[in-house]
Amino acid sequence: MRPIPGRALRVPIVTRVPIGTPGIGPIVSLVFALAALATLPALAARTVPPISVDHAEERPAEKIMPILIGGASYVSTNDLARIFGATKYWRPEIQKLTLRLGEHTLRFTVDAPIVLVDEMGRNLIEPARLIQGVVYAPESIVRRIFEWALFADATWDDASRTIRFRSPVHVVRQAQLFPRGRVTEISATLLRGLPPRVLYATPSEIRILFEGGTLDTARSFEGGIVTGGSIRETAGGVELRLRLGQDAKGYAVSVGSGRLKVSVTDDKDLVEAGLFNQLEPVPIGGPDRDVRTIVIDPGHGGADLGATLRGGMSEKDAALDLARALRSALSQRLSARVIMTRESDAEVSAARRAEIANEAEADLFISIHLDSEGSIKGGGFRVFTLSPGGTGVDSQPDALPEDIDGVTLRPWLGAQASAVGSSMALAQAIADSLQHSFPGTPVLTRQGPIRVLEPVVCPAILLESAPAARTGPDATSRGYTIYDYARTVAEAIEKFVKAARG
Amino acid sequence: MKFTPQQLALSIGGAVVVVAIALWFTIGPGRGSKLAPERLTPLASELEGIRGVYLYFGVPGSDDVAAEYRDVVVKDREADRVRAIYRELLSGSTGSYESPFPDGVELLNAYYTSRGSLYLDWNQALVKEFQGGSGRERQLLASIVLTAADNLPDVTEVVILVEGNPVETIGGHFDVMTPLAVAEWR
Repeated sequence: MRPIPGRALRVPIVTRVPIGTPGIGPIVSLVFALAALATLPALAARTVPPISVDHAEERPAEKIMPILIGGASYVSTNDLARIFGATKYWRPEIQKLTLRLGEHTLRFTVDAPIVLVDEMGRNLIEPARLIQGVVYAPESIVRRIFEWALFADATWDDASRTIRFRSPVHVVRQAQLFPRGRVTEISATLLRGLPPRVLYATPSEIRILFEGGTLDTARSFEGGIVTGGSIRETAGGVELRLRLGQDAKGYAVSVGSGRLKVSVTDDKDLVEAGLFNQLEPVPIGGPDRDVRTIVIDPGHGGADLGATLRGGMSEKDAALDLARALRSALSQRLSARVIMTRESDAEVSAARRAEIANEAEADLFISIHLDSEGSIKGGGFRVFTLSPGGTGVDSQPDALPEDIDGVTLRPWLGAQASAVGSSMALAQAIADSLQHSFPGTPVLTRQGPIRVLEPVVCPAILLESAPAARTGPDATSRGYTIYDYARTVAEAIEKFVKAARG
Repeated sequence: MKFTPQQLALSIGGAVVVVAIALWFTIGPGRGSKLAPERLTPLASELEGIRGVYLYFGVPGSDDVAAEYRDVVVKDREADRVRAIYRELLSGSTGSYESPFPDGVELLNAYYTSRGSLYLDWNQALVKEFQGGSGRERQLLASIVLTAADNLPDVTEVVILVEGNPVETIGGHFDVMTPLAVAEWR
C-alpha cells in the first residue's frame, strides 16, 4: 500500500477531541486536575530524602521515609516509636499521642505546634498532623530528640541524615594471623586484661576461652601451621579455636600490654627450652590414662517418652536400641567396662543417671537421644556439651572442704566444670568422625545447659541423631543404620582414648 | 456538542489511568516502612500504651529462632507489660515461623527481681503438652529468653516456674531448674 503523505497532519486527532466543548469537557478536565492534585503530594513526598538508621551490629540498617505535608517534612510517630523503642499512648478523645522513651515523655497534640517534653512545652513551628490514622510529627523532632538528650544510645548526623546507634566497645578487636617462620601467631588488640582458659590444647587443635570478653568481628584464620581456625564470641566470652597441622608441637598464650597473643610452633626446641607449652592429648581416664569405665545413658524412659519420632516410635525406645548397639560396638573395641543407666523401659531421673556415672567412677559419659525435627529433620547429628562459661558450670566453684573421710566434695551443678574442656574435645572428635563417615549429613556441635551432663564429673557428651533403620538403609537417615552410627561413634571414642594414652 | 462513544471512552479511560497512578503513589508499595503499623489503636487511658516488640519464633527446618516485629497494647505496670508481650508471643507467628509452644500454654504470672531476674510462671501445659526433641525444646527456651532480652533490657536471666514451682526440665534435655542466662541463649 502506498503511504499518503501529510494525511495525518491534515486531520490530526487532537483537533477532533472536543476538549473545549461545554458539558463533558470541564468534567474531564476536573477529573484530570483532581487526579493531578492527588498525585502531587505523593510525588512530592518522594522527593524528601530518607532518614537512615544504622543499628550498628544489632540489626540491619534501614531507612525511614518522611513525607511532605503543607510543604514541611514529617515523620511518622510509628517509625519514631519503633526506632527508639518507645511506647505509644494514644488518647483519641483529646487527640493526644504520647511517646515514652525510657524515663522521658514526648506529648503531641494533633494540630498543635507544641510538644510537651517531660511536661515542658517546646515549640515545633509546624503542628503534629493526623493522617489516615497515623500521627505525624515535624521531621525536626528527630534532631531535637538528640539535642534535648532524650536518647543516649545513638547519635544524629545532620549531614548524612543518619541516626547512628552506638557500637558496643569490644574488649577484643582486630584479631589477625601472622605466620612468622616456624611460629604462627594470632594477635588482637585488647582493651582490658582477660583471663585465658585453655579448654584443650591437643596436637591437632587448640581451643581457648577468654572469659568475659566481647569481640568486634568473628574471623576465620588459615596460614602457617594453622590449617583452619576461628575467633568468635560465645556465651562465656571470646573463643579462639585453631586446627593445627601435623607437625605442631607447642603453644603459648599471653594476655597483657593491650595485646592478646596466641602462638603455635612446630619447633621442638622452643618447647624444650620452655618457651612454649607442649601440645598434649586430652587427659582422660585415671592417672595411667586408662579408660576403665564408660557409661552410656539412653535418654528418657518409662512415662517420659521423649520426642515422638517419624513412624510413631518413641524417643525412649529408639534411644535404648541405639545405646545397646553402641555398647556392643564399644565392647568390641575397648576393654573398658560399659555400663548403661537403664537396661529397660524404666524412668530414671537425670540426677540418678549422673549418680550412676559418678558412683562408677566413669571415665566417659555418653547420653543417647534422638530427634526428627529442626536441623536434623532430614537426617543428621547434634553433639552437645555444657558451655564452658554457661549456667551450671563454674570454673572456680565456691570453696568446699577438700577432703571429708577420704571423700572429695564437689558442687553438684558445677561438677562438670573441670571436665568441660575434655568433653568439648571428645564432642569435636566424634563430630569430625561422623562428618567423615557420613559426608553431606548435617553434624552440629552445640553447647547448652544440658541437665544430665551438669553433675557428671568425667568428660560427658549428649549425642542426638535422627532416627535410623536397624537393618537396612532408609531414606530418612540418609542411608545409614543404627549399627553404622554406633560403629562410627565407637571408632571415634577408641581413637580418642588411644590418643590420650599416647 | 455531541461526543462519539470512542471520544467518551478515551476521556474516561485517561481519567481512570491518572487516578490509578495517583492511588499507586498514595497507597502503593514503598509508602513508609513495612514494619510500621499503619494505624493507631484507640486506648482506654494513658495507663495503656502501644509498644513495638520483637517476638521470637522457631524457624522451620532449623533449631534456630527468628524475631518478628509486632505492636502490642501494653499496660503501665511492668508485670502487665510482660504478660502482654508473652500473650502476644503465645498467639503465634503472623509470618512463616512456627510457635515452639504447645497448645494450651498460658503465662500465669510474671515478676522481676532487682538482680535482673525475670520470673515467668506458666501453667502445666508447658510441660505436660510439650512434645518434641532437643531442637524444639531449644527453640522454646530461646523464644522465651530472647523475647525477654530484646524487650526488657534490664533482664539478665529468666527463671521458669510452672504453677509457682521450679521444674527440672520442659522436654527432658535442658536444665531449667537454674536460671537461664540471657548471654547463653544469644
